Amino acid sequence: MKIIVRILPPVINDQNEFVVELAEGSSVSDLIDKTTQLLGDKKNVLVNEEKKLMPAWRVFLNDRLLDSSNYFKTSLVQGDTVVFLLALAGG
Amino acid sequence: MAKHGYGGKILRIDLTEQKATIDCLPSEYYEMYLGGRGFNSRLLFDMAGPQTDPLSPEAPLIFAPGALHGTPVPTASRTTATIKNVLSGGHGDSHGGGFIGSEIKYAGYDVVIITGKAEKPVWLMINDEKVDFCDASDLWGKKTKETQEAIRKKLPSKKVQIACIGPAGENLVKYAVITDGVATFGRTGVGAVMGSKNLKALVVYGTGGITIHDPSRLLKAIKEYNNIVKQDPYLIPAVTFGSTRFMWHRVKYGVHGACNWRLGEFDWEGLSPEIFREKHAVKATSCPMCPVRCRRDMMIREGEHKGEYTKVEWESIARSMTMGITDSIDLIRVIGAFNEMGLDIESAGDTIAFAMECFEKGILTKEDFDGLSPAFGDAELILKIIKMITYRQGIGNLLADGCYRASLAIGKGSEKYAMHIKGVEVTAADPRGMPVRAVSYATSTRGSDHLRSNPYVEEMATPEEAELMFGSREAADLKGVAGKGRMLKWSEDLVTIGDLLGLCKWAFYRSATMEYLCDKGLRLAAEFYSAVTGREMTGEELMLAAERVYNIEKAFNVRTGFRKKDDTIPERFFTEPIKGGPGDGNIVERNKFNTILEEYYEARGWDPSTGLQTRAKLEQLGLSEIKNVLEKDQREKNTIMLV
Amino acid sequence: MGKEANEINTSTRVEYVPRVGELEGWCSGCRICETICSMYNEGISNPKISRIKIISWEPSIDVPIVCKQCVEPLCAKSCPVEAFKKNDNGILEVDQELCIGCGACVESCPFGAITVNPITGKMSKCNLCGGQPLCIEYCPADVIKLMTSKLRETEKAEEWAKVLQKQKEIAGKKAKEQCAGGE
Repeated sequence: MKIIVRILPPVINDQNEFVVELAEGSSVSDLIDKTTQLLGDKKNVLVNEEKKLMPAWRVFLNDRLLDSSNYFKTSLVQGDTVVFLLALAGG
Repeated sequence: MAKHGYGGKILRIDLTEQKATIDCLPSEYYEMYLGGRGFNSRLLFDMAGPQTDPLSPEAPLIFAPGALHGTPVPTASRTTATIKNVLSGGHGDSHGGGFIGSEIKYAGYDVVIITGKAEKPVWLMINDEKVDFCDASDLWGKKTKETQEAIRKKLPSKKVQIACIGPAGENLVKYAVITDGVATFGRTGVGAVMGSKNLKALVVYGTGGITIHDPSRLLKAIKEYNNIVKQDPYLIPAVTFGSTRFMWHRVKYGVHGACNWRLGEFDWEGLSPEIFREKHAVKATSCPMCPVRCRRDMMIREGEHKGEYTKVEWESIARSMTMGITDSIDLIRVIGAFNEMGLDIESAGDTIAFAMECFEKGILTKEDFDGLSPAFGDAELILKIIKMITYRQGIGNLLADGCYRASLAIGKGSEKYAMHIKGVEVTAADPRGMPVRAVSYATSTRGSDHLRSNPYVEEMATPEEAELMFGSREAADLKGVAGKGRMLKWSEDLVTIGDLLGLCKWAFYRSATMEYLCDKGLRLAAEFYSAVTGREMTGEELMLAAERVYNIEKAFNVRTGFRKKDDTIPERFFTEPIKGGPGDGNIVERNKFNTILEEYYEARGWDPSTGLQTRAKLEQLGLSEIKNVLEKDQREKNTIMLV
Repeated sequence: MGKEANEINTSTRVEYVPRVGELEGWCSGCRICETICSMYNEGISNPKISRIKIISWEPSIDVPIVCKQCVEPLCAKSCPVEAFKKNDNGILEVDQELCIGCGACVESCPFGAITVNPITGKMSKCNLCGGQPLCIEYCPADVIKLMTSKLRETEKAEEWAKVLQKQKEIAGKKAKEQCAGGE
């Protein structure tokens, strides 16, 4: 299945929206792994040394904010849009 | 008294007598308060009290560059201007990231204290030890940019730095700013205090220099900082988009605070980061010494207003949304007018939005606005209101006192539309749905402020880190409660270090992870301070100095009458849900707010039930003198100020 | 950077090379170069005695100015006391003992690249920090480079060659169209 991924703000200059191909029944965790692979040497902006998503990246599934403890359990379906949003609160 | 990293002297200027005296600070001030906001908060406590009228001649206006300002330390660009808060009556200060502060240090001073009132408008020329009081009658009435240009024309050197007020400061608008051309001292009415002294501009030229204890150690630390900047995802987009990048966050959370803090859904596409980058940004510009370069001049490139430009920072965009502006060209024109008149965009934006809502609700009428019908988003009208405020014409005369005072004068239930804390207008993002942000606005010592603390730590910390540092995994959850008070206390002290040393709260005290944050904010900050001054400091010791300063400000506020009931937020946030957007229906839950507030008092070592400081805490911080003043007040006034 | 740029010779200099098409490709006016230069070379931090200087005007324009390391230095020629002397690396420096602060070099330098110390009144100029200028090392925008005229010559010639080629292509195409129209 195809999942649309957006990274906000665009920290990776020319590629902020892309389509990720995943096996049916994959979870948000699987998507994070796959996205990390696609980013290659730029993955360090998304994950820490233990290859875990940095806490400041908030994950929105179809505009709904996900709880980080639920990434494993949240499964995706064809056509879902997942946004990685860097926490940029403040003024 | 040559000290590495410091100017060593202080300058006292009496405008009434037209006299300047050079002096030194007690050496324990250097040890205890480090510099910048630290010096200022103590000096304000020493120089002003509950009876002082902020706009009277005896009230001081104090400038102090951060301890590391003027050296090559990355982001060390902040100078603190401290006053008795014109809006709240309590502690007041404002921080600017321009070149005036380093010039003050090059002239040999760590602090410049201005008191008195000149008989006629003057501008001050400080050239090392020489201070001239120059006639400013030809400058009075000029806008900020014109003032800067006119002064530069008078002087042989182009390398002078100028901090001036615009017409708003002259007319004592209670939220007038001081601007140095690059940066603005925006909040709490510093410009009004300068205007009340008949002081149009402070011009500085310094030929001395700052010595560095260990240059090679400093250079090594700069490299370490630069490496973090390259890796930290928080800072990477700052270079490409500047602070306009915050829009994405606002949109996803629905915390615009649009149309006087009501709407969570807003027609924001015309103000998107891409529009500012592609259509308006001139180039990536920076504050002094900053490798991050998030500052932007925005220019209108086509149409009737082609060629107009002004600085646009995130808060300009945020408060434009509060006024309902949806178009980037309108925004640049409105922000340009604020900057030219010398008005604080944050307070002015909220106050104008307040007036618009009063009109909407029928509390104010066409007659009040000289026949105009203010509506959210109408830029032409906003420009007219800005003029009325600046020159105190018609309803502008009321609005020039801020939304709190205006609402008291207007009455008729308008009080609930005045979005202020301790009289200071609310800033930043809508706190509804994020309880600790609400508490952080309430506990700030200068009235509503999102930069007095860094509750955004909740988005950087993992649950494990939150448990370790703040005693609860909940502290890493936006809606959580437990541990948030401790987190708030920690983050207030953390960013206060920035104000003592002159470091940027964005580039130095925000990060994508706690690791980066602590590495920069504590370890490297201490490393920079040690390398520059030769006085070995640890991150913990910096935190202690910061805590001390925070307690002095709190004591100042207690003296001026603030109590636990004032550590609150506008009622609207508690009772009126956000309308529309992803945060639709969110409010600040009162019980959560109170729980966090009390945990915060406890973490500060204050009394949770009254919010007052304890004798034990003040003594532990080495602030017996502060404690004695409170004790004396308490006896004389027969009210409890200390527990 | 080519090899010749790293060799210290009289035509190697610090040059402002902005990346013209990028918003982030210009000097941002941060003054890190100025404070580091003055700290390293003069022992105190103050941009006024830095040998590299940023000239700024509105809106948002900042341009670094620094010694061109001329092969026939007008500054040295104008100096009445011969205070300009080559150091061990072959870079011209001002001997602070000899300098009388007359300002002749300031007048003769076409680029305003001589720095006057506002306290001593004496002059200084860029000495490339012994070969690895710190301003370059610490420039966050990465827009000042160690350059030789020779290297710039090639770069500029290549830039112009591309423009010229395009002009010729357009001219050729036009000529061809005209011929076709004439038939």
